[in-house]
Amino acid sequence: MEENRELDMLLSLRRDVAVPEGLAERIINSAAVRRPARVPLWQNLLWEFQAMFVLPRPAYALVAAAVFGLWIGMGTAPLPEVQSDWTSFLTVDTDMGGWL
Amino acid sequence: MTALDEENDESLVARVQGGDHQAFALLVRRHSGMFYAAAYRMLNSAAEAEDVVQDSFLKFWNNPGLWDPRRKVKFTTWFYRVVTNAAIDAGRRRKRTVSGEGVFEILPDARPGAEETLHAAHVQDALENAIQALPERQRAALNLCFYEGLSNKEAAEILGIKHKALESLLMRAKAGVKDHLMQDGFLTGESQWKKTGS
Repeated sequence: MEENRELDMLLSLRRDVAVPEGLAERIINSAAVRRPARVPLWQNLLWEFQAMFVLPRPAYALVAAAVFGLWIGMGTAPLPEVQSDWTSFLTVDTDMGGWL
Repeated sequence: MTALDEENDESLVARVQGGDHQAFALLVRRHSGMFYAAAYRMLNSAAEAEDVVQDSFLKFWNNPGLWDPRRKVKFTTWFYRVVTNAAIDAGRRRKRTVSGEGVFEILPDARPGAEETLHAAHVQDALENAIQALPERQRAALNLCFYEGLSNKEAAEILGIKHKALESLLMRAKAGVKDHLMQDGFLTGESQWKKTGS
């Protein structure tokens, strides 16, 4: 009896376990991107719809958008050149009826 | 505090079975710490314990119908079984290399005095080694009854054995720990815990 008590006392000296911070939230977030097996049809349809807009890697999407933008930009006609000859603005062809 | 917070585990599980993520989140917040501790005590590894608990909860989320209310088993009892089995499997998959790996992952003993603290740390290391050296079923029985505070009936249910078999496992576990500690010099033949360090 005495032996058992001493052993129990010794067993009680075992270290406590420190639960890692944010463990619960990590599990909850992992579950959020999965779906349970048995859910109502409307929920499944909603998830399917939402899944169409999910960006798995936003950084890749940004880079792809930038490359696409450059490609489109290079494919279009060059910007009209800035008017360098302003004389036509300064002369009036009176034969054509002048200003009016 | 919402109405959901006041619901018991079993009704939350029923909600999870209908795909309610909030109910699942509440169950995780309520119990992840205690199941993590159970897994940690089986594996003595923070990373593995976290994996075991996370995988167990995600399996439950993916297939909440695994818990069957008709069996009249409490959710926590059932989930202890899931976590314990997963921890046993994880332990089998890897071979332990370093004992007392979690020195920085567990709370230090807060006794005054450096020498006493050091001695307490030695005792704790020896105790941890002794428990980790036990066969997995004995370790699980000891953890569930002694450290998780479950009744023998619950622990027997979790391990899927009869009450008598559990008592036998517990006796052998304690004898194993005692032998180990005697070999390490922390217990004498008369089962006196040595007050001084080895």
